[in-house]
Parts: sequence; C-alpha cells; structure tokens
Amino acid sequence: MRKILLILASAIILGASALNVEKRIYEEVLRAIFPEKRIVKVWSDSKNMKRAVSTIRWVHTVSDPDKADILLVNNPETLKKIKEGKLIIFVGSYTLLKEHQDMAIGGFFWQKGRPNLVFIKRNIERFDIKLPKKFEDYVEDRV
Amino acid sequence: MRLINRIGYFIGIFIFIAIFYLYYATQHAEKNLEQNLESLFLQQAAEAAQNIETMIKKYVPQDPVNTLAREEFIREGLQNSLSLLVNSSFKYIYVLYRDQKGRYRYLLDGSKTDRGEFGQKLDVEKSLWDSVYRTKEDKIISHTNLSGLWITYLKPLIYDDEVKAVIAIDFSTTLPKHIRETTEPIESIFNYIFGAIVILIILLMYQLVLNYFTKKSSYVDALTEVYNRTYLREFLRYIDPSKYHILMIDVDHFKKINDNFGHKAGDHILKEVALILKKLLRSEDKIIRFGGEEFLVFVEKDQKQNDSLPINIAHRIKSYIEKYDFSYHGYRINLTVSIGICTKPERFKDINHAIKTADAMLYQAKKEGRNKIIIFSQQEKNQSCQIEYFSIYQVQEALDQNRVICHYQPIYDLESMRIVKYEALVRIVEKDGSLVYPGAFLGQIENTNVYHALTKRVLHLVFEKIARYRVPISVNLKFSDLSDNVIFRYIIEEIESHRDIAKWLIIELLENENIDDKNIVNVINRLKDYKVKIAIDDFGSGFSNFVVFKTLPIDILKLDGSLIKELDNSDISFNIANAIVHFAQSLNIEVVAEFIHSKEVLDKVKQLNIRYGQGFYLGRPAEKIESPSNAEVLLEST
Repeated sequence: MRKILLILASAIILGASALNVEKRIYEEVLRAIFPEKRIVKVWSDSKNMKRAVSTIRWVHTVSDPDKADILLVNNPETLKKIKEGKLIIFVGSYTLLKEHQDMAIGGFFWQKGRPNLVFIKRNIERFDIKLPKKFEDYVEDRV
Repeated sequence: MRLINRIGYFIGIFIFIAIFYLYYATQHAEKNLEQNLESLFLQQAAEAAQNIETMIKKYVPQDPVNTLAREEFIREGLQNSLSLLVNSSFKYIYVLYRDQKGRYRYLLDGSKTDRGEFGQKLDVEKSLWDSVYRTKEDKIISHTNLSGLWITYLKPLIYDDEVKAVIAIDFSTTLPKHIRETTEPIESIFNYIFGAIVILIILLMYQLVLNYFTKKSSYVDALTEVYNRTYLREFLRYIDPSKYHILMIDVDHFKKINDNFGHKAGDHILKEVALILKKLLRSEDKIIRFGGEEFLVFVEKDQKQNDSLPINIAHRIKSYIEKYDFSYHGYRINLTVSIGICTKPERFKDINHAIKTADAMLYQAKKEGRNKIIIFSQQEKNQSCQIEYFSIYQVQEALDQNRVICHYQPIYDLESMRIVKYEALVRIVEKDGSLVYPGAFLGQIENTNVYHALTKRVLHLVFEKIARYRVPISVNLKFSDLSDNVIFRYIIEEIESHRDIAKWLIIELLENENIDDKNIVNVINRLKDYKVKIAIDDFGSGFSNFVVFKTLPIDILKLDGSLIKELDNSDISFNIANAIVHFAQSLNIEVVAEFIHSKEVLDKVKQLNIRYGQGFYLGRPAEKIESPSNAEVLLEST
C-alpha cells in the first residue's frame, strides 16, 4: 500500500515523467496479478501502454491476444471483439472501465494530473486473483 | 598615512561587502520572484476558494454529500459555476469528500474536460488531505517541476463545525520558467563577473600574504631573529614616545670573542644573548638589533608609568647574562653587558634624541669600566635639554652655506711665554650667529659622507690659516679616520695641494681608541713623508698605551687634561704626569700640557719641566690668530 501510494505521490510531488510512473505502476499491478509467473505475456492495442510495459524485464509483449496472459486495452472497439469472461482485461481510461466494468478487472488512468488505479472486486474474484493488501484501497465494488 | 591606510581598508571592506551583497541578491532574485508570484497566486486561490465555499453553502445549506447525491440539478449548476473560474492558471477546481473507507471521491468538479463524476474515486495525497479534515484549516501543497510552479490549494468545506468536504484548486504557471529563461543569461554574466572578482581577490590575498611575509622577513635580523633597523625605521614613524622606556644594551668586549674564538662564536653568542633578551622581556617590548653587538629595547611602560620598571628589567638582564654559562665548542665564555637607560623619551625633542641619550648612557657605562647600568638622570636631562643636537642635514646645510669654521686655541712656549702654535677646533655658526660645538653634531655624522666632507673642510680651513700666518696648527683626528680610505684620501689630497706648507700641519690623534690596525704605521709614515707632525692627544687616560711610542713615529705628546687640571691638588696626578714627561723626554718627544686653567696649575706644569702648554688661563680659542714674527724659528722649535 505504502509503495503504491509512494509511486502515486511521487508522480505528482517529484514531477516524475508520466511514462516512468506508468511503467512502475504497471510493474506493481502485473506482479500483483501474476505473483508466480516468471514471464508475463501482455497484449495491448495502445502504443503508450505497450511502451510502458515493454521496459519491464519479465514482461513480454505478444501480437496475438489469445497467447497473452493479460490484455491492456485502450480502444473501445477492441473490447467489442473480445469474448467476455475468457481473458483478463485491464483498461487505460475511466470511461472504458465504467462501460466495461463487467469485463475488465480494473484500469489505470490519469485524472487531474494524478495517476489513478481502480480494481473491480467481482472481476478480480472471478479470475481468482488475490491482490496483496497494499491494493485494498484501490478495489471498488463498481464504478 | 595611518588615516589613508584606514580609508583604504574601509573602502576595501565596503567593496567586498557590496560585491558579496550583489552576488547574494542576484542569486536570490529569481527565488524571490517565484515566491512573490506564488504569494500572488495563493492570494487569488484563497479568494476563489472562499467564494466557492460561499456559493456552495448558499445552494446547499446542509449535508452537502447527501444533498448533492440527490440533487443532480444543483450539482450541475454548481459545477458549471466552478467551471467559469477555470482558466489557464486555475487548471482544476473540484470538491472531494472522504467516504467511510477514507477514500476521496468527487462531490463537484469544475473541469471542462476530464470531469469526474459524483462519487468517482480520485487518488490524492491522502495524508495531506486528511490533515485538512483534522485541522479544519486551509492547506497549500506545492509541487515544482521543470515546467513551472504547481500548487494545490485546499480549503475545508465546514458545516456545523465539521469538515464535510475539501475544496481544491490546482493552479500552475509557466511564468517562473519564462523568468528563469530570461534571467539565466544575466545570471551567467554576473556569475562570470563574480568568478573573475573572486579570482582577483584570491590573487590579491596571495600578494598580500606574500608581501606580509616578505615585509616580516625584511624586518627581522637573520642571525638573532629579533627586529632589525629596517623595522626600527618603520617603528619610529608611528611611535608614541610616552609609552616606552629605552634600553641600549651592548655586549662587553665582544670583539675579543670574535678575535679569540672566531666570528662563528661571536654569532653564536649574539644568538644566545638575543634568546635571553626574548626570554626576560615581555611580548609587548620591542627588541632591535641596533648594531653589531648592540641591542635597542623599547620597554612598554606599565599603567603606573613606573620608572623602576626599565631599571629592574636592566638589572635582571645584566644579572642573568653575568651568571649565564655561554659555551662554544666546549669553551666556557663569561659575558657581561653594559646598559644605558632613558626612562622618559617623551621629554626629548624627538625619539632619535632619546635613543642617542640611551646610547650616550651606554657609552658612559663602558667608559666607567663596563658591566654597568647607567640611567639618564634628571640633572643630565636638564643639561641635555640645553644642548640642541644637530641633525645630519643641518650639518650638511652648514657645509653648503660655509657656516663651518675653526677656532684656534694658542699653545704657548712656557719658557718664553710666547704663542708658538695653535690647535684648530671646529665650530658651526648658527644662522643667528651663535656657535655650535662639536659635541652637538659630530656623533650624528660619524661614518657618513658628511663627516668626510667636514674633515676635508676643516683641513682646507687650517691650510688657509697656515698659508696666511705661517704658523703650526694642529687638527684633531682619530686613528679610525686614518684607517678610513676615504678620509685618508681627502687628507692626502689636501696635503698634496698644500705640499709646500704641509710641514706646518700637526695631526693630533685621539688617544682613546684601541689601535690594532697594522696599516696605521704605513699611513702615519706616509704623512711623515710630507713632514706632517704627529701628536698623541689626551695621553694618560682611556687606552693610554706606551707601546704606541714603540710602533709609531710620534713627535708630540699631549698630556690628558684630567691629569693636568688636578696637578695642584693631587700628588698621584702629579707623579703620573711626571713619569710620562720623563718618559717622553727620554724619547725626545715634545710634551704639551692641556687644560691649564689657573696660575697654580701653570706653576706645577712648569715645575714638571713641560715646555708647552695651553688652556683657558693662557688663551681661549678664537677665530683670529696672531701671526708670530719668528714663525720659522718657532717651527724649528716644534
């Protein structure tokens, strides 16, 4: 919890670059979702999201969404094509998360110049994801 | 000069402070500007937050969270009002409330784009926001980044003394960035200037330190490590004579140490003596190596102006050195010192006169047998104060203005009671016509070119008289004058130019010097080649040594005045004089008695068969001389 807060706070207080903050938050999120995976395969429809995760040593980006462990989605059209309930989806905007809160396990987005993180409780439970205690504050029943 | 130095120091310090202040002001100008801008924005934010609070309370008089959750219309209206306040500086204006889990959620959001929905969570710096709930006071959260200033102004929204929500205004400006971009080149120029000034100051400091050490080393005597005469010159420029007593200290028979043990031994002894002086004197006292083995000490007066202080110090020095075991290469050397003291230098015309007086006291101490302390007494002071000592420049001026003359004291043949020759005595005629006697100026010009010029002038005057009156005239010189190449050259030049009358010249050599110069025999023989006669003056006192007659071709012996003036009441003086006369007669040396001041003394002189005599009883010195008619005969008789 403290580490996440520190990252979120440092993004504002130290004026850290957005990309760097995103990379660190994604690193924490992916490790929390896949605590035992040595390599996490990520598919994304967003260049920015891809760029943020590609610098993580143990994350591999894949071009086929079916081979991915998690989908980082920022395009509403992408979600229309995905079969519901099969893949772990993490979105990049509040609007997308609100619209697809039944599909996505959570989202990370910027608001008021601040990085914001949200997990949807029932979707986490659906994928049997046990988030560490430090993420408690970011888990919502719905948005 | 001191005032100029002080002004210089003051200006230097002022420039240094001004430069330092300018540098400080330049470095802090940007920061101050940012602070002022921040204050300006904060003031505006505070006013805006206050207006927002008033507006919310106007439309939502109680329980804002539940009311606005229900009343979408009011919420929209308020949000639209908030959005009117959003501009390029006030980037975000929003109101958050804290839910039961402690998460912050939107109550209102004035953002035109990216507007948060009611109840939407916003991740904020929780601890800082919590503090607003706790303290119920406004809070400012500053963030700085490369692009400029970013501040969040927080104001609690209080209902019934309870914080229900927090009004937040995020504002930022790029003005500091633009200011920084504008001032950076100016700041760089200033930095280069300050850098150059700092380098100059460092160089100046280096020069000053170098100058200080060079000056310091030039003030210290390399051998004894006490101050030297260069320092004395500087010291005397600013001295307050009333703050010091003066001691003149001389190592007795120092020449013997050099002669017997070598100059290295002499140097060793001087070092030891200097160390003893440093040990016995206080740090505020000044020790100066005045001459070869002569030390001048300025003893700082104590608060009581106690005259016994320098006397006690002098006794301590004398006693310590007397008991101290000086040794050199296993040889033990016993030393004594003579000390002259001048206790009140402020009573003299100037400090140089006071030093000369201390020196005169030292000379007196040596004359009285050495290992003595002589203090300048009040009586002597009174006498001394009557003597106006001449400076070297006054003597030079007198020479330039032909105010140097000779008076001539007649010397009588006591059998015929006729004047047979004269003794020339130098005088300076003051501008008011009064006479100045040699005691007032000879000491000051010794070992100077002025002394050389004076000697030449006296010889010239004497030869003029001889040429005119054809009478033997004696002049007084010292053995050291004959050893001095410059003076001897002058003497020879004068004699050469008056070769035909040189036989009338008598050179009286003062018998108060230790004659050990082997060259002196050659010098006197050279004078004798011109038929100049040689007399020994003041024989019977001081360094009187009969051996001088063995080594030197002496023609005349002048008995010392101290013996002659006591002839009528001292048998010892009579017998000594008698022995000297017999000795001289046996060597066919003419004897002259000086200081015949009474008939009684004259009778005694005659009783001793002394042929020639002079003194106030017989004739006082005068500018004019009588021309003896039988001068050639007189010359023969001499």
